[in-house]
Amino acid sequence: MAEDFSYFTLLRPATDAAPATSLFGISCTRQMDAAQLLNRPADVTRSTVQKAVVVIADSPQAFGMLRERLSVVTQAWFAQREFTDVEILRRFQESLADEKRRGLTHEEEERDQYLGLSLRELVREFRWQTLVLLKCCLLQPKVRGRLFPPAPNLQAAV
Amino acid sequence: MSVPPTPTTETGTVPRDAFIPLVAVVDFHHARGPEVERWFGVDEGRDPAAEYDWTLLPFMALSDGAHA
Repeated sequence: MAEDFSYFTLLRPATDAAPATSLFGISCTRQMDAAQLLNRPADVTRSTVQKAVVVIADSPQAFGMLRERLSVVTQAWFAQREFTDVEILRRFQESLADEKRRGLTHEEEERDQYLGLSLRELVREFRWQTLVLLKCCLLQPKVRGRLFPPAPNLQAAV
Repeated sequence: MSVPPTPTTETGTVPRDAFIPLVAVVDFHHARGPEVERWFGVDEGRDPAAEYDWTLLPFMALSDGAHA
């Protein structure tokens, strides 16, 4: 296993200002031979070290692009063979935060939309149900309004 | 391009309920198992996993597989 990705959701509890919402997580897991570490900590007692770098965001809309960036960042961090040096991770979060504050333009959002989404794989995985998914996407505003009011990100998740 | 940019607030500040993306490291600790090792993007000493009760986060983040 070179790298492995996991996708999950988390609940962001309600605050005085906002109702509870979903947050979206993506993680990239890698492992390496503990013998390759430049400084092996005392609590590394097994032969393999396994870690995941996780990003938690309020929308899964840009996850195609994010997945590629997360892959590069995680790979670079492991390549250092020194996990206490987290500069690259700190700067990764800062750039994500910065992009969020500036806000994406429409153009950027659309450019990202299909990255990592293979139509071929979609059809192979879901067969005839692909049409149901498509229909759900088209119906989204109605479905959301009537059945799932607290899930504003459902469409993006599909 | 004719597509207008997404309107943002005047000063470029995010809306009040916007969520700034967080980065975390989840470690498969050899004695304690999966755990969040550190956070990036949160104030010193704060732990979103504890505050928001994200107890399953370490297990969801680390992929299954043999832990040698």
